[in-house]
Amino acid sequence: MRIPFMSMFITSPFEGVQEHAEKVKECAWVFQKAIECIIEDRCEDFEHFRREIDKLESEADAIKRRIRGHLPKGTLLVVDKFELFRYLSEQDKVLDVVEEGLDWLSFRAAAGIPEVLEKDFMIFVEAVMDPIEQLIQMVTAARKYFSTFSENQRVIVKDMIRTLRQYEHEADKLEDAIKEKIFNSIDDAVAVFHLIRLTEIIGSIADHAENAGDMMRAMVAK
Amino acid sequence: MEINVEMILLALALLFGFYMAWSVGANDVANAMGTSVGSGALTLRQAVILAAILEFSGAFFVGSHVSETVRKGIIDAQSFNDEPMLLGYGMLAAMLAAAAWLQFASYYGWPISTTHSIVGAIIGFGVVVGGVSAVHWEKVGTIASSWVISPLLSGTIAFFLFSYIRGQVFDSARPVLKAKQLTPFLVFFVFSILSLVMVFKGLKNLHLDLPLPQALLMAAGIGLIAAVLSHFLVKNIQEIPDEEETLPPSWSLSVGLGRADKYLKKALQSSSADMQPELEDILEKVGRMKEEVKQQVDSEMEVASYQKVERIFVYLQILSAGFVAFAHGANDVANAIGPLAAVINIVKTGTVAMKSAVPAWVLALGGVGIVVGLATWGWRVIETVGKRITDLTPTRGFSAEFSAAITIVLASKLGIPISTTHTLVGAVLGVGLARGLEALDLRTVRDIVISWVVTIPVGAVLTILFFYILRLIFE
Repeated sequence: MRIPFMSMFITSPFEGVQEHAEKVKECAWVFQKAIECIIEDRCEDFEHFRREIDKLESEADAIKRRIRGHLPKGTLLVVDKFELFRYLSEQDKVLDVVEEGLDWLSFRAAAGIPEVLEKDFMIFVEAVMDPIEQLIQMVTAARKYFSTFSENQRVIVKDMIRTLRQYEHEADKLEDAIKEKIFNSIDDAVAVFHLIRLTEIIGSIADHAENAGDMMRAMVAK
Repeated sequence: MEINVEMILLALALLFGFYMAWSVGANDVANAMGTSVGSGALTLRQAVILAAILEFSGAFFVGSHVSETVRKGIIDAQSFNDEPMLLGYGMLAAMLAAAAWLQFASYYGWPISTTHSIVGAIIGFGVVVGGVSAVHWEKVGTIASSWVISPLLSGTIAFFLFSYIRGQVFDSARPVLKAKQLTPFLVFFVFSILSLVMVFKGLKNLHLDLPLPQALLMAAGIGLIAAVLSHFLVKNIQEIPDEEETLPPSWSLSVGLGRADKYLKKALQSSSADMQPELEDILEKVGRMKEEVKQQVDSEMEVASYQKVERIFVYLQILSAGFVAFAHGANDVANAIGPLAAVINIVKTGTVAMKSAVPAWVLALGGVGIVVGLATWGWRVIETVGKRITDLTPTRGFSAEFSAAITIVLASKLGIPISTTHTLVGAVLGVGLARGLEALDLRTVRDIVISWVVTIPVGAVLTILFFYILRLIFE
């Protein structure tokens, strides 16, 4: 069929960005479940979490490649293509860090998390989920903004980014507290190293979510 | 024997003319109606019926201007005074060449234009058979430059129109109210311009061609009536969703959290000292949750109001789609009817004296051809376009279609055959540049520019080929 009019329209990359964000959230949930599993000491099949994350990661990768592949040179976008890719890579890093955390956890899965720190880790991981869930909402709201460019919607997106930053800040505070507690309550050097590194990895999940928020802030800037 | 040749010529001319008209109806009508079907503004059946009526009206009532240009504006008929039949073969060859090229390009999905094919074919024939002087180069220059200007013009109009709608409606604190206020003005413009086109030296077939002052007055009157009617149509649309089901689901959550917050504060005041830290903790958590849900509710309410704006613009989109269909019929019927009318004239009078106008029945034939194309194949294209192009929401669709329609109608008035498809592509681009569309593939523009360069020589060469074959057969 000869419809030049139709060939102009290509799939919006934001659809993929939203899908990708969903994958990030799912991954984070799996991670949370894995941590809970370890803490509950009844974790027989830890590998199962790794497989699940692996699967989600490759799905997210496929989405990422699809977005990049479907934006040929002469594409007119409402945002800077470079900024979009930067955002996407930051969102993808959240996922990578989750995977890294799970790997790190698995290296010493048998030892688990010391009882004194169990509650702290539960709260910490829970706190890291907040910015990620906020990330999804932000992406959805931002997509709406990119289709209307209305000031109202921009304010909403900016508010969401601010909330995201707050969550990251709270997670940061928890991270510091946990580190202090690790040093003061654990004597085994290997365990300290493992736990400190684990804390840092979990903390960086929130960091990357915040970075993604910052990139989004750049995209919605006037 | 002579009579027979002419009869065959005439039959062939009718056949190819009808094929061209069919092709116009089959492929290009989707431009106007596709997005309206896609956005759910019209059902496929409604769209096809509306398009059929308006395409035919456009072709029949306003189509003669452009047909005249195609028939006698491009080449100098006087050069063929000695051998009128040469011109007849030439026109026939031009139709055949354009149709063949069209079929070929359609197969590969190239964005070529019916208009450009036929114009290229006629020029080619004129240069080779009649000599360089047989072609009205200044007219060809006008036509060729219009191919570049028309997408640019429609794009510019679309850019400013959509930017204006966005600034006025989407960017306001109360988008729905703004949309309701803006609707009558937009309706006024659509109807005024449409009626102006109809009555100002148009509608010759209905003996309704008024001079400018009266035409302006009449157009403004019609526009005003339509605007008042539209005002009453949108008047009852509620600004804020008032029914339970239209409220976002998080709304009740937000209300509940607000209440919880209130009661917790009360409890905090009357509680004992040892309970207070725990209560404060809960209160803080509820407060945070409330803030989060509020953002969500805000976002959802905002989205709901944009959707409502789109629903208001559905009416305008239908209007502009109809406008495009009308303008399209007016401009594109010439591709089929121009050469056909020339052949008919030569066969009938045996001379190239083209004083007579394009007969009404020939215009009607073109209109019927378009409608048949629409009914047999065009609806499928409309369906495809509608399904695939969902980005063109009513606000965007209206901006693009209205801009394209104005441009096409203007060109038709001036008797310039332009490509309606390329004009619409320009308009969509304009909306895209006004940041109305999330993603557009600009390679289409490159393809179109290539098609400008390629279509003329190909049309010309094919026409020459067919011309010599026809002359060989008939003489």
